[in-house]
Amino acid sequence: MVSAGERSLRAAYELGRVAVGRGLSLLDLAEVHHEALRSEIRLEGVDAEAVVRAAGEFFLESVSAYEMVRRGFEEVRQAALLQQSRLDMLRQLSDFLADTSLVSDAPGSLEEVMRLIAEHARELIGARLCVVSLTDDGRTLRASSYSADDVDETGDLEAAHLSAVASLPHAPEERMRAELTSLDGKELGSLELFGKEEGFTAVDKATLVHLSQVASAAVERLRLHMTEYTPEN
Amino acid sequence: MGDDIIVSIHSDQDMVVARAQSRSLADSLGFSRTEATLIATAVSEIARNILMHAGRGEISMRPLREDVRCGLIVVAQDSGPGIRDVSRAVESGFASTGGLGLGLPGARRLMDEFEIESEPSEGTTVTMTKWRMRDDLERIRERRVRRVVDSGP
Repeated sequence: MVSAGERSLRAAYELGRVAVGRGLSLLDLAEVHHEALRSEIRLEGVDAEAVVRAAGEFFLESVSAYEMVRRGFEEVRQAALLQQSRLDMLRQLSDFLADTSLVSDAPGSLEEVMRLIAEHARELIGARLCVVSLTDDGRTLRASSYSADDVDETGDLEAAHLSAVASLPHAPEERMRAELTSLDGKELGSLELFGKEEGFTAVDKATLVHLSQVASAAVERLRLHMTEYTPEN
Repeated sequence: MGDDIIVSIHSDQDMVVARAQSRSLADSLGFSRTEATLIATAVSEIARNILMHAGRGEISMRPLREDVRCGLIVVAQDSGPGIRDVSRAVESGFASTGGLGLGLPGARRLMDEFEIESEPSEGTTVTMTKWRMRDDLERIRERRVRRVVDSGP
């Protein structure tokens, strides 16, 4: 330990590598190092300060292999989190498709689909508010979904909506919008998301595009279904 | 290219030389002791890779100086059998690293930039860089020194 120089540091690095390979914990390594340092310092005529300095360098070198492993673990953890969020997204998309396919041609179905779109989009992306707007026979229909923090149980939802929109910052990174379009390119409406604590990410934007396509298809299919099965037909 | 430090890698002893040179260069560029240790570790891993797979090769290192940052670039070259699947070689779990994240994947994680070029039977080149951001005081000092040098005796 006390023989200074790169040769001794290289030995420390090899020692750390072997310790990692044998599955020794960092605590084991620290304990062994401490014992070695204690016995060195007890020797007569030893320059304790020099020994402690050399021991510090030796220890730093021996734990560098653990740093490689720690960074590897962090990389794997991030990959696992990403995988989990993709799984969640797939599950929610699948729920959304299942829910919309169950909506029939009963009165209010379009509003129900819009509500489902708003809820799923907001939950999936983790936004504070989602607003779905649709143009229907010259009218604009709107459905919103709010995070639990924004909904007043006794309050008027329309007022809550207006107040939530007014209070939200509209900086580009704090709102996202995607158009809902039919297969032949006609504009059906829009899907807007507001307010995410840590800001919207590139993955959120990609998810919104995907959701808007699924939502457009659901709206178009429902309208087609309603046209096909109206009593006049 | 005058600043290049070149170390031939033929034996374990050369690994010690490469480590010492990288540490010394890192110190001269103002890297902390911890960062210098990580750089020396990354250099050890690529030197070990040369010895294990090619038997011999060369490691060169050079300082990089920019206005807001400075760094150290390390290039390791060998004429060994090459790596068939480069992307797999830098992932943990690759056979020769025993799946512990040491070796090339470990070196990649310790450095800021890491690139491998390899062709089967034609050898491998690993290029890796570590950066350090320079603070304002450091840059002001350097400008002052430059001004003094430019104004001459």
